[in-house]
Amino acid sequence: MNRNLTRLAGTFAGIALAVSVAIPALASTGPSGRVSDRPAQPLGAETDAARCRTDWQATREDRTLAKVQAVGFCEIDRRLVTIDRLQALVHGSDVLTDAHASALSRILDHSETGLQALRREIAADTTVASATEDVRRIFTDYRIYALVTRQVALVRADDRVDAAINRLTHAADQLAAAIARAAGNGKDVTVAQGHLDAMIAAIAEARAEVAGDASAVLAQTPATWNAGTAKPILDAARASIAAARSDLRIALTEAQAVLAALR
Amino acid sequence: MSTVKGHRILTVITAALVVVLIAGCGSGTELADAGSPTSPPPTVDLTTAPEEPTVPVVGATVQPATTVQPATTNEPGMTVQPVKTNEPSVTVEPVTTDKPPTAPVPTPDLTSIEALLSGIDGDLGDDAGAAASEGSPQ
Repeated sequence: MNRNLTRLAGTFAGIALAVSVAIPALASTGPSGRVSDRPAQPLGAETDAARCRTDWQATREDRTLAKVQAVGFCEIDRRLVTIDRLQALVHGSDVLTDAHASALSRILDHSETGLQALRREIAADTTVASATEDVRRIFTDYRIYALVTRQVALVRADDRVDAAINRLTHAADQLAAAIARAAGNGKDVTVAQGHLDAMIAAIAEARAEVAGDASAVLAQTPATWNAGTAKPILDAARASIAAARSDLRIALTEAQAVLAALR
Repeated sequence: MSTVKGHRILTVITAALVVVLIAGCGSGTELADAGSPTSPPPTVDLTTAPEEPTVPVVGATVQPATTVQPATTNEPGMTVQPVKTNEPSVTVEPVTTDKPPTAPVPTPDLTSIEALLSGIDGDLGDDAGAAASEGSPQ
């Protein structure tokens, strides 16, 4: 009996020692020890085409239903990560107009729900042929990278151009007032006025460059992409935004020249 | 005899167990509380810091660096009053500078425009790299 009591006490003491060591160790687990529910990989590694290369290679070597489904899941999942990133860009943007942000959100939400449904369809496929057809639809029905990602980037750029135009126009008004003041004080403002005129002309050119671009870009769909009509429109919008950016750079330089001429 | 001895051993071990448990839990609590949002680190609450006493501006002579301190003597009921003189009232006006004849023309904010142009470059970069990620069904 006494021996049993001694053994029992020894067991308790062992447990107590273990607990007293474990509690501080657990309590000291700080934020760095927090388990993340997001992949720790950089974004590029999650979303670029190379992510699914291994699955595609396996499918080419042995085209089974499971392997076709695996490549479908991979292609959909990287698109969902991309959509998540694009939604954050749209919702957190301080340059997008409300109308453009709403239009982009609708495109992204439609793409997200569609891809999630397609993922379930692929999981339910029972033949290689049906799974292969569903995997093809990931590309043809959504065009997440060729179209949707470009729509977000181009509309953001277009709205940034508009914001820069507005600010430069306001700056031109302020510079015109400064020139008038200097002229009133008897200063020769010929050079300053010349730079201001060049600034205003560059702003007007930038405005003309991007007129209607955002609407044209937002009107494109996977169907128009597949028909070959969307890409030229996106490329044209890109070219006009780049040209407008150059015009705005000129306008900014002219604004700085006005200030220098007035000193 | 052996039963009594066993009980003594058990009592000693139980006491040690309690001490070890208390020590273990106590140190764990301290570590957990150190980073707990319910026990923020001590901070200086600036909102409750005593304000500098203001100097009466009417009917009093303003002396530089005059501050009202709590009574430090042991005399009961002693309060510190502003020193009054027989001099005529002095009113302290905020110091103002002479305004220029006309307001200056505001300088345009060109820095924010520069940032917008840089943002356009970033957007065009995103656009250029997007299509390469599309891939194709193989």
